[in-house]
Amino acid sequence: MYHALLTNRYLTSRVIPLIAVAAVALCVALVIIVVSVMTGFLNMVKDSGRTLIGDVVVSYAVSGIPHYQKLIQRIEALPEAAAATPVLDTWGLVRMPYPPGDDKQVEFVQLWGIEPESFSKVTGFEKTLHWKTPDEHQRQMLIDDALAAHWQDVVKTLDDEQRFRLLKAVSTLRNNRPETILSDDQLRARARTISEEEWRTALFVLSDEDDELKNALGEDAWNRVLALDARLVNPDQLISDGVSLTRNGQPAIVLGMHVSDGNERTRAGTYTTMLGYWMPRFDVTITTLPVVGGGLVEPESMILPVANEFSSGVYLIDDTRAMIPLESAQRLMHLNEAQRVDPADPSHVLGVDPARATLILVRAKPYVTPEQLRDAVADAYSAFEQEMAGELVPPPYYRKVTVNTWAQQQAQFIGPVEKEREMMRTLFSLVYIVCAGLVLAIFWAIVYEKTRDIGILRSVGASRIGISWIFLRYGLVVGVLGAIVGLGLGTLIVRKINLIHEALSDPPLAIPITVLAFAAVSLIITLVKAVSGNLLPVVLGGLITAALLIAGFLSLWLYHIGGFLMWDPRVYYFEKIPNQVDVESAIITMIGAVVFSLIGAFVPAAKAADTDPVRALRYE
Amino acid sequence: MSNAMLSARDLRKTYRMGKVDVPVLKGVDLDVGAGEWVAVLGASGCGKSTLLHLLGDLDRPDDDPSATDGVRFDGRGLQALSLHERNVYRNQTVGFVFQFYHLLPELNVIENTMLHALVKPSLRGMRHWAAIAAAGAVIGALAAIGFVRYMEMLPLETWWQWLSVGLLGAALGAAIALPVVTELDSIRMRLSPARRAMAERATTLLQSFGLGHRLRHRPRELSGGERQRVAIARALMNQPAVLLADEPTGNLDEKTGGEILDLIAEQHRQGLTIVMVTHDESIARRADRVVRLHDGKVERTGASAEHA
Repeated sequence: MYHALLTNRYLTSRVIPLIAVAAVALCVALVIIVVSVMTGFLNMVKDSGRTLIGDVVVSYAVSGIPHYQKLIQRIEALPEAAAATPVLDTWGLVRMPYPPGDDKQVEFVQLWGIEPESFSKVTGFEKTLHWKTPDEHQRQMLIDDALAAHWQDVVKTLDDEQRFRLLKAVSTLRNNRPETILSDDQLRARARTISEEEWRTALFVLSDEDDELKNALGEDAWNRVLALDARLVNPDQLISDGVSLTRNGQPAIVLGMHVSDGNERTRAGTYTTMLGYWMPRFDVTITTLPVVGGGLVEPESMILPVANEFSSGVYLIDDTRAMIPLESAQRLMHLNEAQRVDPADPSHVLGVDPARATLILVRAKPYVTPEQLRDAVADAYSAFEQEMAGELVPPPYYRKVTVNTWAQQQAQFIGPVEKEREMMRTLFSLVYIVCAGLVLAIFWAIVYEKTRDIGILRSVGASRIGISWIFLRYGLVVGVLGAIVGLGLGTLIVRKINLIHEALSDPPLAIPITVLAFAAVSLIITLVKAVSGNLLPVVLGGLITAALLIAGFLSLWLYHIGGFLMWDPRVYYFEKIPNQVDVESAIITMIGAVVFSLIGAFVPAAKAADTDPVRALRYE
Repeated sequence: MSNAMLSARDLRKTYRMGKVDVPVLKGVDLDVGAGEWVAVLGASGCGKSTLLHLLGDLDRPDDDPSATDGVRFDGRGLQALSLHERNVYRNQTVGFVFQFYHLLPELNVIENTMLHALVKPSLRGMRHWAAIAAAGAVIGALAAIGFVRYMEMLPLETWWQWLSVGLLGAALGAAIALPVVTELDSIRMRLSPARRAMAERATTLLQSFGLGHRLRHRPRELSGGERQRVAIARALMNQPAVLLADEPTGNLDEKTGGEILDLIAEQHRQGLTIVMVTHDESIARRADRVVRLHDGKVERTGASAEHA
């Protein structure tokens, strides 16, 4: 009974135990922050892997799986499978539309030939498409592009009145001085005589002024201009183009958001387009090396318009991947359906080589684990192999068809991150020892200070175990309080970690100003205290002032250099820092802190129990 | 004195100062009868306080006393008591009053007074704790084996695997059971009517000592005389058989010291046995009997009037 009373009083009547609580809280918060970010990072790696490749992957690299449509039918008939889709996975070069001139930049990309409809069912592809509806600037660029491509058609359809209005609008826009403005008659006469090139110029002069051009052309002609590009008429066209991998009905490509240097990510996480290089305006040239078959390897090229760009959130994917229609990929890789001819007599057709896909991605039905689906798909593949005996190209002896879960497929990627997480967890667990050491040192001092109290308690009959339980209980309370405060602090920092990162990478001026203002107030208080002659408040005030000044000038310096990027997506794959507390790790950390606080309190508790009451009571 | 309540025979105590043995008590014989007020008189360093500590079992005499030697209370030697019985002796049989009051600074007046009573419920014998530890160990062992089997952490195929898990669980169970039961006991006591009765007795005692208006004050807010009154109230809380007072007025002015002695005398009149250590002959004269200690031995004993 006296244990609780004394523990509570010792805890609330002095600063030392609060320092112990703060030390434990800092240790707990540190471990929670580090392990939560690492676990969140690992989860993001896993989740993104699953989002991008489904639950199970059937893979047969390079040569591809022939008759894959039949395999997909078999897989989709499985009760465990929700959907399956073929993918042709290869590498290629993309010639970008920049810089101006002939010397264009070339990017090395992982090309995925996909069937857009089924691919969206298996993966979250549709949700990753970045451009939804063109904004004003993008609309303007699309109108410019449409006029650049079809200006002659537009001019041809204009009647005399429309041409007159066009010239009048141009004349008004160009001439500010009234004496240089041509009369209406003069303009009508001019409209009948000017060259085609001048009409082009007139259209482009006005194209920057949407309303002027619209008024000049009239409603019908303006609608015809807009109809030149479906994206100007249909607000969902960009998305439907992306989902179907087409533009204006033609096969198109969807690039990862970071493939193009034209996209620049802002600190707010949005994207701006630099120098008008908004990729859905342009076509790109793809070049691949089809390595199937013998003889010299000849590259294959194809020009594809860009339908949209996708942003999966995984930097590595967004930086290197591009989606094209499966048929286009098959043609580029010579894996499309083709006649097989006799090499000695090419006119002699031996048969038909079926089209191939190198991956089959499968999505599981709800409540079906990837492992269950994998086993079912493996069985389905065996049955497919037997059904198609003699039709399959035998795999090279060192590479077989594999059926893997998404986790197995991503093992090379996930494994190191898991190892890294465990290493961090182990290293930061050393903090517990620091925690125990701190409690030991602080409690040792408390026991020393409370020697007389121990003597008094012994004189009133308290047992040695009872005395030691006071300090063990004290350690327990310090551990529990520290763990709770640490959890709160850790949760707060983890939740706001992106905000903190934002403040570090783009520090607002208000921070250094506020901190320096606090430093000034602290300095004034310290100086006032100095007058009283006591040294301790002056030293404490001086330390606080110095800390605030250092923090203030550091944040001012950060502001001056424009902040620093702690979480670089090029290194960590993701654009945002994981901000979810890992509950399991948090609980383990809290228990660890309590246990180690208790361990730290054991030695002082034993010392307290061993205190000689007679000697203790001699103190006064 | 054959019917002595508290007695000491050939009591010896040697302290070790560095490498030197310093004998403080060199064979003290003392008998204190029930209801008697005995003053132990002597110069500084003659062993008065040591004698009091030995009588109150705060300290132990030198090793190897004969069966009849050492301190005896009601005929029973303190040497023969178990650890638990010795704690109970200090808690319920004797009450200490010290020269420097020795109040706990974090507790207020009423809490300091209740200290004996607060300690009392926690004094349980080894059997009690052994039973709790055993119950905890059994539950812990079963829980550990059940947990390991349910979570399929270990196959538990060999006897030593069962034994290891069981022993680990038993150790954990016992380690958790002891503090948990202590805390539950504490909560139960806090909610029980006994706690209220405890507070009422402390309040009554303090009021009778003129401290009714100081119940919630901390020791640092009290005068020396008030602090000593609180210390006496604390010593009397569990209605001890013997009050052991070590220079109770040594740190007080003459007037306040007189008031404290009046208080002690009042307790004596009510039948309390008192052993009081002092170096002041005028104070010693208020006792029934004075034992003069010199150089670690009883030099003279007799009624206080004989010492006048």
